[in-house]
Amino acid sequence: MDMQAFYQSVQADLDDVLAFYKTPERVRKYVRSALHDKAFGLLDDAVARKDWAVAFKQAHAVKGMCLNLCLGIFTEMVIDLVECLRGGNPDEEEALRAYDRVRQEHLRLLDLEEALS
Amino acid sequence: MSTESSEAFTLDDDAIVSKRRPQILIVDDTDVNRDILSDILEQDYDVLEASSGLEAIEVLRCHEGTLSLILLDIVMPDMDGFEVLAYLRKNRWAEDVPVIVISSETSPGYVKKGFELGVNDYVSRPFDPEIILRRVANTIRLFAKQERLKDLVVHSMQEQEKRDTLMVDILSSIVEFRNGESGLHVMRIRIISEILLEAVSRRFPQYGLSSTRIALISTAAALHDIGKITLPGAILNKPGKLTAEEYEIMKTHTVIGDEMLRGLQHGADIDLVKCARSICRWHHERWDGNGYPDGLTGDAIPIEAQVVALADVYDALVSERVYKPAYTHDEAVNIILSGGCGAFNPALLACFEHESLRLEEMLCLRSDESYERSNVGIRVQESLEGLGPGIAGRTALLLNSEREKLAYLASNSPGLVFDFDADSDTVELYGALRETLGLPRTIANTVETVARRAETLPALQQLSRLFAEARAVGSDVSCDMALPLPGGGELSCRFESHLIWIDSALGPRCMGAIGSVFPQKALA
Repeated sequence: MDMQAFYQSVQADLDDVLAFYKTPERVRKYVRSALHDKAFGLLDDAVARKDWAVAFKQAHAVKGMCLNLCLGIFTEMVIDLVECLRGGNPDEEEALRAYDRVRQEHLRLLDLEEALS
Repeated sequence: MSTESSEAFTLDDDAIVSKRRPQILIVDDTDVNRDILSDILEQDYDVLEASSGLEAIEVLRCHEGTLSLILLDIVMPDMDGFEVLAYLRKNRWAEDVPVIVISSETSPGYVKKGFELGVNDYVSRPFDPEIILRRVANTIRLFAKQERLKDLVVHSMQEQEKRDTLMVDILSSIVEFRNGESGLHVMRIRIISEILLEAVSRRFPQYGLSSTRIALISTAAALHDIGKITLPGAILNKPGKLTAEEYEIMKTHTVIGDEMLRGLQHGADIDLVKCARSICRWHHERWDGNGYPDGLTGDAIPIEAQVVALADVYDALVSERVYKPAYTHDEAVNIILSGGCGAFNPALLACFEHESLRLEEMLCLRSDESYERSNVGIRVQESLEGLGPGIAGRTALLLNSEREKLAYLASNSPGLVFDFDADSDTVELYGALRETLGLPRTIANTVETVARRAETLPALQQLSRLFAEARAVGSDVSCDMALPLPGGGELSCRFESHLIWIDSALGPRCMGAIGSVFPQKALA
């Protein structure tokens, strides 16, 4: 798999992000760093504790990375989660559903990232 | 295929704003966001990074005065971007360094709050390198121009003041020369008046002596005897006692000086001239009404005239005149305090007595201004050409250099060294004992931090308590203490702290403290 296919898998266009960061190598470096960022683990912990304030901040950190890397539908999922958690007193069922979507997609992207040539 | 040049993050035009590489601090809690910004900026700038608000405060304190810009994320754990901005504002650092917010939070409330807290620009994600580079370059360029303009205004005001002073000195020296005295008398009157005025300003704020007013009076003081230019030389330079008639003529120099200045075709209305008129006319008045020409009493005599009167009397006593030898400083002080030269305002006499040693020292210290004058020329030139860091920048660089020296020495200490800055309410901790006690490198918002971490860091609470006692007492403190160790047990230590005070217009102010804690026996 190459970067083009990776971006297609999140319904995004590699050229959009290349317009910013110039080379596929650089984009790949950023994507790898983003997908392994500690914010994902801290988000998992916060959701497990139902500490919604911390979960909001960590989801927000993930949102920032996704926006910077133009990660298509993954960005949209994360934005949904951020909006759901905003204010610190979310509808728990809805928050957990949004979180689960983000988590599943994150795991899928981690697998794809590992398969990148 | 990309070429090397197309892969670089650069602007088409010249983005470099000066010959020195500006230093930028990136504050963001995610590694990849800092990496992206760093990659974009590192070709043109020296980049520093902080992964949290607290770390940003630490970097700011270490690089105060040398940072050209902060790129600040808003939503961060612990101390968020708004708290950093509030901190910058509270400690007046926001005036010294521009801030661009970088955030994925674009709701109007966030943006508005950012601008309310003083940010210069707001950049949303994704980061477009060209836009980032342009906004960074523009902000730094604009801020640098603003700083240079500020420096230029300060310089031109100082130069104007020096020119005014020089003209007044020349004029006064002509009078003094005719009077058989050297130009040093003029300079000494200015210095003595300035010292007394500063003391009155600190202790008696009711006189409303601002630093601008003090500078004005000190300059005008040189003109106090200008009326003597019209008096006959035979009277002015008579070696013996004046006759009653001669004395009456001598006394007219006060009114004549006032009238000479009142008659100026241009400038009679400006503050310097009005102040000089007041000094000329009333610098021989006395607190009890026994002076001349108008026999004013108490505070009916303007404070500028009261101060110059005392300065004139003191300088006359410690100087040799055709009719008398010079008294020593102590003799002169005693004569004045015992009423030998007439009655003065008791408040003014209290200041005079308090400052008498300083008066003696400063008269010698301030007698050579040639070094300062030559350096002012160089600094103005540097500012005009944009080559030098300017006055504010130079001060900051010196501060930074001193701080680095302290940090180096303190870091190698086997104990714990602390440096508390009251203005920014931060404490920097150094030395081997810091790690042993599990203490952080920097503590901001000291009272709240200590309260919050009291349980996990009992040593911090104990040190804070001792330090609060030292501040309450207002003096240096030394004592033995037992510090709780993180793993249990205690460590016998010697605590010493030294408070740093400055004299401000509102009275003495504690600027901070420095101190140390040393184990009384070597750590295992």
